[in-house]
Amino acid sequence: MQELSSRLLVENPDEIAKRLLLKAHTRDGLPEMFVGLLFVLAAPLNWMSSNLDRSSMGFKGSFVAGYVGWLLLAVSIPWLIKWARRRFLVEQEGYVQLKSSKRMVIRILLVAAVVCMLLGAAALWLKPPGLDRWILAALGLFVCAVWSLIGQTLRFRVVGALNGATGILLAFNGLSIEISLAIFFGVSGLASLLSGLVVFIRFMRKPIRPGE
Amino acid sequence: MSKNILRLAEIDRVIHEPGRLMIVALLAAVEEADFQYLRQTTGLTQGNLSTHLSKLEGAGYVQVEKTFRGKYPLTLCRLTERGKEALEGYKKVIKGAL
Repeated sequence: MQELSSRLLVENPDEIAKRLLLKAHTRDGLPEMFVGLLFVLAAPLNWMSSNLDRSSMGFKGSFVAGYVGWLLLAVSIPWLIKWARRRFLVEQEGYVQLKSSKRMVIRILLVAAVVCMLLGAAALWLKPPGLDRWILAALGLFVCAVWSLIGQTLRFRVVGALNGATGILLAFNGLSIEISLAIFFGVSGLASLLSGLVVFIRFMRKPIRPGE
Repeated sequence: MSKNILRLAEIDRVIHEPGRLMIVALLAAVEEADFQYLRQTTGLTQGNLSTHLSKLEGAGYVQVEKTFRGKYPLTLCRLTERGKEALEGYKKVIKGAL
């Protein structure tokens, strides 16, 4: 504590705040659980594209509806997390009103995630030779980088590394790109969901001390 | 001795304490936060946090408001304009000295 105290006094207060806010945002595991759920839901969308007749209206309709629904869920995540915390966890977490600029950062990150998904979809539709494999490998590395930057704790780095390794391994195996993407999103989603769930359970087990 | 180092003697001692620095830095980064959030995020004990908030409120840097959200009592804290100016001044002194 003494060492931490001394370190704080020579740090930029903005950096201190950034670290504290990041720690606060990830302490209950909810962001990981929501992102994990998002990825898990992306898996069947990719599976559908390889196992259903692409020319049928049924496929086109369900594919488009699935992607639109997925995109809506993706952009709604910050509000869902905020709602869940204020509705169910205010006694454990307390209450905070973030500045709009922080929400903008969260939106930007989500847009980046959505762009990744669209790139994956474009690879499926356009099918340039070999490019889709590299996109999958790049997607794995991108998700790895995002996890490592966002979390900056061991569990985020482990999940990030798992994403990176899964992306690279799947990109250059013998499976079709659609199946590979489905497996990638399924594995990544489950890893994130489980990591978040463990954190959430540990968080909820902490005794609630009444606020002032 | 450099002028910037000498300015350290003028540093705001209300802010220049690890616990209060965390509180002020955190409140500067958000619109408002309640006592429970501040305690969870800074890791300070209830007593410590109360003491620091009282000091900051006494200096006019933090505004404390007791309210309710439904049935849940909230002690909301916000950084005042004076607190924001004090923090900016503090940052300039530290940056200059380092």
